[in-house]
Amino acid sequence: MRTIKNILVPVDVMEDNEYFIEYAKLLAGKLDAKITLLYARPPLDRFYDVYLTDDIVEKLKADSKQRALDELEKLSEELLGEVDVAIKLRRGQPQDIIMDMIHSDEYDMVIMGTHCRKGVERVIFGSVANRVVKHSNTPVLTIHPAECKG
Amino acid sequence: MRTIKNILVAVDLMEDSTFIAAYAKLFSERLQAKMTVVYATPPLSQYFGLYLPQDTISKFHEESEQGATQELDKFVKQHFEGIETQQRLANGQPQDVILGVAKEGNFDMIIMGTHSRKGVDRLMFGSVANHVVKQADIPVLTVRPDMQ
Repeated sequence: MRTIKNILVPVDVMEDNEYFIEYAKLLAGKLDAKITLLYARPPLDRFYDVYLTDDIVEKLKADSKQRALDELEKLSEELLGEVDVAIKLRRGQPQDIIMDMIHSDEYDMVIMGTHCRKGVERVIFGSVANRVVKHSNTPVLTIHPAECKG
Repeated sequence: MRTIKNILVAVDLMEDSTFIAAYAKLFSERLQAKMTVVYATPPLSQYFGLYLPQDTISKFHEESEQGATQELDKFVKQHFEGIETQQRLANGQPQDVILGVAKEGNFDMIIMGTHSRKGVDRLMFGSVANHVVKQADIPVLTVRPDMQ
């Protein structure tokens, strides 16, 4: 018999996450599973050519890390209530981080949202979900936000 | 609050779909949800280029449908004994059939396999899951066939 005890839920704290976290909550409750909220922060390289002193860069990094952690805590408290939640913050390209986590074999399911962006961004994000669906060695539940439904 | 009470399970009975059944069973039990198992039989138009008399084609069509009905029935009995399950058989491109049935049937979730066939077919079937994930209005759970 299959079991699902630890669900990986990648989020993007810059975007709406509620529409798929609702499902994560429902399923974690019914399956009696834990949830790991993962936020992969994009690399900071893009700021490096701006003229900034090292201590400003360090402070920026620390601030951004703390803000991301605060956002994750908030998501967990506001949307997941009594579910057992772990929080993971990583730095790197989201698709690589998500695949690395999946391949760690700690998780038996992935729940992820897609975002309805337009044009190139949509194609790029679509490719993250597509890649995860194709290569994940655990089941993947993908959910579209309501406003993308047509 | 979200609920999931009506699950559409898409299977490809030309291949082993046991891995999908295992997850479908788990979800329907835990969520106390009804299941509908849909099997899309490939369109027979691929044979229309062959020289075959019309009655041979209709006979072929009939037999193929009968065979598929039996296969589906066997699959449901084998994997979902004692669970409230409906069966749907439809002829057409799998992604169109799955999305069409999902839309008309008031389902809350789709469970399906990713690529399961070999070679070119495997690429094709992989694209079915990809297509459904992109187009579906409801959550889609994809399961890879080689999962342990």
